[in-house]
Amino acid sequence: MIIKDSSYSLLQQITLALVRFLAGWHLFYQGLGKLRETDWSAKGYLSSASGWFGTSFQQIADWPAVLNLIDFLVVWGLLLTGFLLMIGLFSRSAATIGFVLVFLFFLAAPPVPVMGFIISGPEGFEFLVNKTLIEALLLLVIAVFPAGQVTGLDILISNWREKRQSIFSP
Amino acid sequence: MINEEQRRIGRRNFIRAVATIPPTGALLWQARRMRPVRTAIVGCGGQGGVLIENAPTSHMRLVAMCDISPDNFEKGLNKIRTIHDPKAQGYTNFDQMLERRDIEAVLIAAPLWMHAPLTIAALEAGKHVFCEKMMHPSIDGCLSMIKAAQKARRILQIGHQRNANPLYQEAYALIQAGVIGDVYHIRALWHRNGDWRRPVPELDFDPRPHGYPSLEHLKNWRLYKKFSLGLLSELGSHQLQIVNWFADGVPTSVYGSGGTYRFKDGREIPDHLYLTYEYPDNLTFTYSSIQSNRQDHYYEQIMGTEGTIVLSGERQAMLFSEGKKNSKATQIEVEAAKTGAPTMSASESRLRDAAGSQVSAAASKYSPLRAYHDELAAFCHTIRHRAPNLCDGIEGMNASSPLILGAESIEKGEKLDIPPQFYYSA
Repeated sequence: MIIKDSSYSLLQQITLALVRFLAGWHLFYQGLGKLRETDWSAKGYLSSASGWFGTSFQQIADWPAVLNLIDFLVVWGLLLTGFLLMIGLFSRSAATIGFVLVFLFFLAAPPVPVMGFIISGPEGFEFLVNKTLIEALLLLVIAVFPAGQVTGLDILISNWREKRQSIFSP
Repeated sequence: MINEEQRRIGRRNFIRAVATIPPTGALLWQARRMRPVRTAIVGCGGQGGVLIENAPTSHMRLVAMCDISPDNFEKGLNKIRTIHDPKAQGYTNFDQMLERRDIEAVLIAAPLWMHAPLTIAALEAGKHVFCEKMMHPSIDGCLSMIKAAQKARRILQIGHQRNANPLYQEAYALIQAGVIGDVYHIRALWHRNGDWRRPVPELDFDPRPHGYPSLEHLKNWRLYKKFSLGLLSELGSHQLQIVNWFADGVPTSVYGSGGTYRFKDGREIPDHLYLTYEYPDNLTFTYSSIQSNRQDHYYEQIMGTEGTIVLSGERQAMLFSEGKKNSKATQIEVEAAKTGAPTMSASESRLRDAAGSQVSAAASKYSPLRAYHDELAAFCHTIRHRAPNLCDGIEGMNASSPLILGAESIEKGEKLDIPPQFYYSA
């Protein structure tokens, strides 16, 4: 459970792994729920997009070819990255893709002023930063730290890489 | 002694240390710019109550109210304390309320004849003013209000809420785009079937010091010439302002006919009236408002060479095509979006009615009450962020002068010119 020759304390490593696992479960279940709903589409979310790229997202909602692709990518992207983060396989890549996905969700509905003022929503008072952005940044943190090395199949991969390396070096 | 190297490292560390302070300051400053506008309201009767209930609480905080009539006073104060500020204060003296330095803006929903005196007093006290429509029943009053706002360097917005209604914004865009061709005729009407009298409660209150001969005059101020222009100011002002907007101009003459035909109960204003306004570019606007039949309800109909737009009840828009050029019908949809601001979408579809002509209709999910919310939000936006004024004093005066002349025309039975001096000029 300890990363080899690491400068991270036990607490840091446990927290990293825990966060990676739970963020993975969050993404996975988001994807699973959408998959199970017979008629889920990103159209609703996209057509009520706001913020700096609001009109671009809204245009995608009216473009069936791209919309179908987005629907597929969102559902399976969430499922795949969530699953990989949970089992700790290819954690860096999965976390990076997760960051991109969730950041795009954020960009489609950023908490920006409406007619000059922030309207409080179900999540309270948010100006420029909301929980979606925080989750995106969390995935970024998971990506830049060796979160898959504490526990997870990435350990087997790094072991395998080391073994290969040792064959070629004296 | 510190050498150059040490000094450089020290400066770099210091910059790194304080680097997060400017972004923090910027965000805090922006947050401060979004603090709600502390507002007071004078006049908590019918329309005042609507404003209190529909005011956007994220933009505006009502902290004080003023009303001379005890029943409206109690109702208004309770509503404000429930919705806005439990510590809100009530006043019966407007000047006393204006002395409060924490009040930034005032909403004026008192009877029409008081619009100018209250607005000017509030502006001179350094408050921004949102004044309900019609602006004021005299041309000099309107002019004084505009000049007072300019002198005080404060915002004056007139409560023509349809400017904030996306149905009207979309209709304007369609007309500007030439979808219905050239417009020669606009008709609007507001037909009702009732006497428009409010019940007069038993109140231990003498309104005479305030200029009302009796309680009946206070409660039914709309029926008396001293206080109101009647149907013209309370209903017609909405629709005439829309015609000014869509025509991009103001009327040059008016001829009116009307009188008190059905409710001869001592009221001083007509209960049936019919006006014809001439606009530049050969546009004519006809208006009727009656109190003996409500089949037509209320609408504005813009008739162009290639189509017709009908805006009905502030909540439905219909576009009819005519002529060879337009063979497609356009569906107009308006709904409130997730963020609270309305969004519009237009898609092409074909519908035919029984007569075979193309019709498309959309019942709006955007309630007319929402327009009050949005116009007050725009008022706060203008105050805090210098956004364009949704309906300034000049537009308000341009909607008032024609109605003032219209009332005069009805009385005299003559066609009257509306020369430029009856409109605002710098």
